[in-house]
Amino acid sequence: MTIFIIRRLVQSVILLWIVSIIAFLAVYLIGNPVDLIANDMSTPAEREAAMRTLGLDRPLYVQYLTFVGRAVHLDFGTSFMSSLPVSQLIFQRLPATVELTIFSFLISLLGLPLGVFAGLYPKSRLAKFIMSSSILCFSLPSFWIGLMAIMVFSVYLGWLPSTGRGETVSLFGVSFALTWSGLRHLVLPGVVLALFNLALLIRMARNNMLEVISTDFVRFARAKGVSERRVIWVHAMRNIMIPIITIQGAELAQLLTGALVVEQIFGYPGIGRLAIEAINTLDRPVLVAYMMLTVSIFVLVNLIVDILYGIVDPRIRLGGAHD
Amino acid sequence: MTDHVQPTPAPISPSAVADRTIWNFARRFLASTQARIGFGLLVLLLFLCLIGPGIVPQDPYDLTQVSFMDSRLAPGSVSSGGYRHWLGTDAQGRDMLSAIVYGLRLSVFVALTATTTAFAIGTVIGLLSGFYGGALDTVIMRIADTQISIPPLLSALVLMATAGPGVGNLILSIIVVYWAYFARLVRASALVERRKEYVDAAICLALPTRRILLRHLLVNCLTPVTVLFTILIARAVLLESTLSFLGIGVPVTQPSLGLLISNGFGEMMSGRYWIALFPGLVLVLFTFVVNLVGDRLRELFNPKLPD
Repeated sequence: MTIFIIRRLVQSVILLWIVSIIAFLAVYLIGNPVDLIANDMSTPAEREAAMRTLGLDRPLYVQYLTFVGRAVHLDFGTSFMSSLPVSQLIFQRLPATVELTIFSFLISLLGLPLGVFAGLYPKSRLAKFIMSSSILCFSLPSFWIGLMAIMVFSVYLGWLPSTGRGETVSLFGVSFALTWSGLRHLVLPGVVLALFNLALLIRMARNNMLEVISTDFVRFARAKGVSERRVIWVHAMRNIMIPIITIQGAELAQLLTGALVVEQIFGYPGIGRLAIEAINTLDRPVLVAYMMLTVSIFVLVNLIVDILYGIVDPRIRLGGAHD
Repeated sequence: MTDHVQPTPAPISPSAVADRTIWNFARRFLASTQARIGFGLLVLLLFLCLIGPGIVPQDPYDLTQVSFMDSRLAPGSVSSGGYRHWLGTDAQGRDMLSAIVYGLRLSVFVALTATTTAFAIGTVIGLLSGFYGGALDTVIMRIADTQISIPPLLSALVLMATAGPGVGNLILSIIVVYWAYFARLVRASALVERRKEYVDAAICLALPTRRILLRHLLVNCLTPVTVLFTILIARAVLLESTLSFLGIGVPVTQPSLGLLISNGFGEMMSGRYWIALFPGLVLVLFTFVVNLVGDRLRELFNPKLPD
């Protein structure tokens, strides 16, 4: 077990290292940020001085090594635009995004019972309706459905606010939207962001349920006289959850990047908006930090999921199913 | 069972089961109402993309045909040019119906070109990787894993920010993002198929490796990939429109559906709903019918394929 964890840990670190190179190179190629900072009146000497203060005059590999050396201490340098430390910018905005992601993840979990129902009664009208709706949910671009939601629920009906995060409360220096206004601001972006994962969960739960319900162990459990409720919710559910949890690990990271678009539409002050601003202003340190943060969360979640499996399912630990 | 020995090239029918001819397959495909609706609408929309420029009232890319006098007309109003704008006009005075047809054309072109290329590249790489195994396989799969570990929207975003807006860059970014999904899936099927006896038999017959790869392995790996192909086309359309919406996709002069919606963003608050509503409806309709077709293919080919 320890060896398994160590092996996965090493893999994760290597992956992060490769991503850091890619992120750094890609962002390095985006353009010269000095062009944006300097105004038309700047002399070449002033531009040089600006390059030097930002450390852009040194060779690429030196820039990269400095970057890595600092990044391991969670120091991503200073934002070119706001002159604030990048880590401060990000951690200020992170709670909002985490809140949004978790909230919409919870909403999307509704897909689980819906999918299980559709898998148990595949011929019923309701199941067919659920399945068609899930295909529709797959096809909705979040930015458009977000606009339409603002149009209907904020502009015409006036039920929910359309922009911002509302009032927040501060606990231990971290802001939470645990106020009535904060929660109301969370509803529209949260639901819009949840739609895709909701559809995915419906489809996975339904397909796996359809498959599992016709397997031998379910038939034996029934023959043994186990109650139908127990057969479905204990015997079948356990087997359905294994593939679902795997995919949901990856989906959490998808929600995090999906938040980027949703935050843009709803004017929600999270790290996604920060990243879009950084792209528009060529703010390299912020963009690299955003990429590293997102991929790290993704890797971390997958690592935890894998280790949980290794504990639950010995087949994986022994490397049999892990190809 | 004799599919491999027949001199005529096998149709892209996925398996060698004798009764699964292309017509038989089409009949089974169309047995579901959902598939009939999806397929019919898909053909209609693709046809509209092809002949669209010939039948719409205006070329929205041609600035001489567009007049600022006609900007922001409500759906159904008549313009200074004398024709009726059924879906209204946008802030530049473009006829929305024409702009939507051109936008759909561009969105579909980008998604189809990019996904097909990614499909071709990924399939070849996956096939070679699965067939030869060894160090090649390890290296390729590590690269694919790294690629997949970054969410598609994020990689495409950074790539487009690096390369700048443009149709070519957009297609390239989508290829870079999607090839790994094809490669992984084809490799997985190739690994399974490679251990089967017909491959051993083909090797014993001393058939050239190229022939074994293309005529034996490829044909049998195509089934799951076809489903992935339809899913990724739908996702590519959404990805393209998302990037264009964020302003780093297509250039401003050639609006795709995403950019049209983005233009309508500011207008919505002033009650001019049509600029964002109609392009979005078309976008959803197209993605929806592709997904309907993909869903039916999944049912037919492989009910065990994960979502």
